[in-house]
Amino acid sequence: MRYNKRMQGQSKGKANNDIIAAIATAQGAGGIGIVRLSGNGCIAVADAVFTAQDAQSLNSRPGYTLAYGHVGRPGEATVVDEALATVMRAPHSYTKEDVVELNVHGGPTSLRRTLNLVLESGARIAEPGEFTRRAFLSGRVDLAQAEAVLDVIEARTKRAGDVAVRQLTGALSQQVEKIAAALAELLVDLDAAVDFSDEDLDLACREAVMTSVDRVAESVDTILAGAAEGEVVRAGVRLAIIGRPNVGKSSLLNALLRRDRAIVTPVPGTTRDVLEETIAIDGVAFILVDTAGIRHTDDDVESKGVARSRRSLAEADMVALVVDAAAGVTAEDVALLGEARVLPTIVIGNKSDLLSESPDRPDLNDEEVDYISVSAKTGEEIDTLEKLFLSRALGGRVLATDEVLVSNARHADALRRAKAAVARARAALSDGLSEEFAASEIRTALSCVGEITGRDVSADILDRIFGRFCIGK
Amino acid sequence: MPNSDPNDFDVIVIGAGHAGCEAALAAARLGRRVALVTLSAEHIAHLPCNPSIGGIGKGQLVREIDALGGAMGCVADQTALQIKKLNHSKGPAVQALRAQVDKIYYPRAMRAIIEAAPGLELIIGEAAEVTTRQGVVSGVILNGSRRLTAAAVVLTAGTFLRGSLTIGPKTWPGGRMGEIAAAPLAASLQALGLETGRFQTATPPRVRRDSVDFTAVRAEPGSAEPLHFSFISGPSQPLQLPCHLTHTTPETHDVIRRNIMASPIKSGAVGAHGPRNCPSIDRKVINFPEKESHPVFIEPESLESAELYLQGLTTAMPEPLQEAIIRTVPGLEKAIITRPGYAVSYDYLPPCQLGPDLQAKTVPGLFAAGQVNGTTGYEEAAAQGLLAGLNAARWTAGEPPITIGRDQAYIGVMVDDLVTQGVAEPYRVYTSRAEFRLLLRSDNADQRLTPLAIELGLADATRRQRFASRQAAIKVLEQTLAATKLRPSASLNARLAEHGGGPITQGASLAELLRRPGISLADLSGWTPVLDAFEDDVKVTATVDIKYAGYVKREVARVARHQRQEGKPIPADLDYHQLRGISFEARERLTLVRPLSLGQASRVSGVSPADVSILMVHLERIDAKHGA
Repeated sequence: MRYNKRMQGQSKGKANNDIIAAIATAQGAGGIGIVRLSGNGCIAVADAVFTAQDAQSLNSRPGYTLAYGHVGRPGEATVVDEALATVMRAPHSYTKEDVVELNVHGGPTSLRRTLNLVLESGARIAEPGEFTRRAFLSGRVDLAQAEAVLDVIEARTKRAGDVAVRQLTGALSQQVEKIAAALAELLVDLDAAVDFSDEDLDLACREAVMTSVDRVAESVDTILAGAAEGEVVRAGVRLAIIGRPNVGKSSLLNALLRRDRAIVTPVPGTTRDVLEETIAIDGVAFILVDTAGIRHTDDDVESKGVARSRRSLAEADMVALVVDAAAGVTAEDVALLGEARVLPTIVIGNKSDLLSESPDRPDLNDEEVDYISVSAKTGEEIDTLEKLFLSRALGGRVLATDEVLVSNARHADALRRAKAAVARARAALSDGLSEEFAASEIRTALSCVGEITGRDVSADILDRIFGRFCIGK
Repeated sequence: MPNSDPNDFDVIVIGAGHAGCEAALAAARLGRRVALVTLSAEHIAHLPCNPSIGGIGKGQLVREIDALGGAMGCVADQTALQIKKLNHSKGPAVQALRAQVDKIYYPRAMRAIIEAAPGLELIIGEAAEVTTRQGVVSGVILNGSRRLTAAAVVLTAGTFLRGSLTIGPKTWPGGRMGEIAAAPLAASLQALGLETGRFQTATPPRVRRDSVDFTAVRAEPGSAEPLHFSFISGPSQPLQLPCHLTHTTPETHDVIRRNIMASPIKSGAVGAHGPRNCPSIDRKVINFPEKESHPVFIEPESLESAELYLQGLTTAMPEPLQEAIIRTVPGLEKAIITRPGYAVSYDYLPPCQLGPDLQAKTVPGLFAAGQVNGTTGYEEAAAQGLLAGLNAARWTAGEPPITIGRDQAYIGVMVDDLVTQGVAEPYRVYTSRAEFRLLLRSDNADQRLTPLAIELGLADATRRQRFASRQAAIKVLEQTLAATKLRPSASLNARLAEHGGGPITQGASLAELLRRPGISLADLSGWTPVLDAFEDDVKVTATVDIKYAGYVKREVARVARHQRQEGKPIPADLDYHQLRGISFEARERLTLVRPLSLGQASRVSGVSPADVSILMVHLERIDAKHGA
């Protein structure tokens, strides 16, 4: 419940209903940008900085109306920008509070000046995710959707954003609800068999119930199959580039970065001397952690450097071990590989351009590990290398663009527990145990999926039994 | 301290049905001076409908009542005409007893216990008014003149509050056939600000035994083994009189369909909600037109009576039509109706007005139990009565109330359902209402509740001894099962193979063998005499502990989660109208129910998961404020 905690943390000491404002559109020059205000009284704040062409105040307008005019400092004639103002009145808005959106020209200067005017007029700057926190606290979105919003805000790449947006629109909830409904339907049969065994009911036979259990298990599997990938897409992959000095780690990093891809965030290491760069490969973020800055001048520094490298390794999801294909694999390379192998590892034979003929796979004392020969200098096989990164990160799966991915570790964990419980229910039925044992497991599974959507279906069960069967002697 | 004033009591119980009897006995057991007020001494613990006690879910309730020192189990054992184990082929958690009891002897046996109970006084009369002083209960006015004083009143009025009876087109006031309705009492409760709702229920016609053709129906015998409800009843072999099974026919349904406008449910004579678990035959024919036949059980009512009960033929049709209906049922073609089926409509108190101690939230000192709380069934009534009587007694001494959790007993499940969700129809217990069904078993009801009964003073010496010896026996049996090894033999391995298990090649303990799928203690007893010494209930408990340990463990883990939610208290003075974001409906319902914990709040109907998560955030904030 990471998001929940964060929201609670934010909520402490902050008034819950003051007026907040923020730039609601992406940073950077765009056609139109929006400054959004929310909170009771925010329409008056907007009126202070916005003058409509028809001279009618925003406060006098009904909800869902658009006014054309300009933004400027209160009491001054200077126009900051022309603007369209949208008024939404409580509770018919995202936060269920009064909301005004000021649409101005999208340049950063115009947006920032508009925001500053709003802040001077009585609003305070919204914290990250605060509009959503208000939407959640007003009952406008549920927890799973709120978590998705945070994922959208944090999304490093377009694909991660897409996954989160699909979750926000409830695609995941819908699939989970379907599973919950199927589990509840199973309970109808299992519970009816024990509560109404002395009634003359047309109950499903055990084989049919087991088939239904299998079907539920399959649908949980289908969603879960995308869980690891979902996490990869949401959180990105930390890829540690390691290797002996002078094997070409830095040039490999440059080769990967120089390409015409979005460099999302260059984050300089703050507590360590390693450089992190993020690249997107087919929409998946790879945080490349380069340990190249470490130099071995004497034993003391070297030991510190090794410690740092190890630390990068410990935090990584994947390792790229760079070796010098031209100079040949050394015993030190093999030792490094041995250390790296606890994680998915790719060995990169760099400097293929120095070899006259196509290189053979060197003896790495490890037949299993992926090996690829590239040239960081000429860019040869860098494309292939990226595909290899992606394929290893996704466990060999190809991402479909419209897939619902379980991108949240909490959700994946709940689904895994549900899956295990469903499997135990299946075992109880095939072992010939009475229905209440399987029902106990199905209830466990239901409470697991209920953790995702928050829905509890147990009260429905009896209604369904009565709906379907003729009860009563 | 003997009290000389004949009108001064600690607790007054209004109504001597199943709820009232257990309430009065529980309060008296705790040493309170108790008045049990009833309209008629002949109808103490009366069985106006089905002459049976127990059933699936209900049987578990009877065991729980017994484990808490209640009387229902013992009386049912004493007066059983037949006793049967239901769900015989299912697991131990859903097996339950049902007894056909003697409709004449059961009330007599209960009356004997009531009259022998120290501190309990039986008063015949009509309770007309509950009196209060500064909003707190002060007593009851009898027959418009006699004033009884007490700090607590337990209302167990059954179907008597503004009761009205219906047969066909005719409706007249009455609490039960031949008995008056309690109109002044209903008015007095309304004057106290309590809200009422309206429910109905009905009962089938009775027929004369010598007019039934038993060659046309199937005998349904009781179980062969000696069975009993009470943990303190000795082994006994009831008479095992058979019941008989017959079925309605397409002709029956024809008669009903052709005359459906004469049915009170269609004519509008009975407008209130009835119990879904026990619909009239009229309703069954309307709701399930594709069914050509419904079962009818012919049940004995008493050794001293020639009347038989027709379970499954509940109706309040006009009497000539009731006759026409039974003519079409095999075995009943010539049956003579001794009394017609009828419907009763009555006021109940929507139970959201009560706290989990069954005390009215707005009238301190007033407790309510049984059918008046919107339930159906003798067992449901008795279980509530016991809890209400216990808490009324504690209230008079300023002791904190006792509540029973959903993880502890069906009583807890039922009371929580009632006070948290309210009722849309008469409420009956089902095992599927319990989320921890594997733990709430008949065999372990004493393990779950008797320690509480001992602590509170509800268990007498016999029960305490019996409990201790049974727990010791379970322990010995479990040790025996772990220590006793069977050697491999051709016959044993053949038996194991029958259940699809592999042979044993070296000695295996009974516990190891018991863990195999399909193997029961009964299967093993042929190979060793050590099991013969143990009672059935002891064997069941030990079997669950060993054979189903994994399931029990996982359910216990769910209980832990449940208790975390239940353990998050909600301040009693929380103003839900000040909480932003909670839906309007949730706000209204939470204000009405005033849940004591986040867990209870999550079960209030109309409260969505989103509402609960918002409430959770608000509670954290309140905590943070108090912590700062």
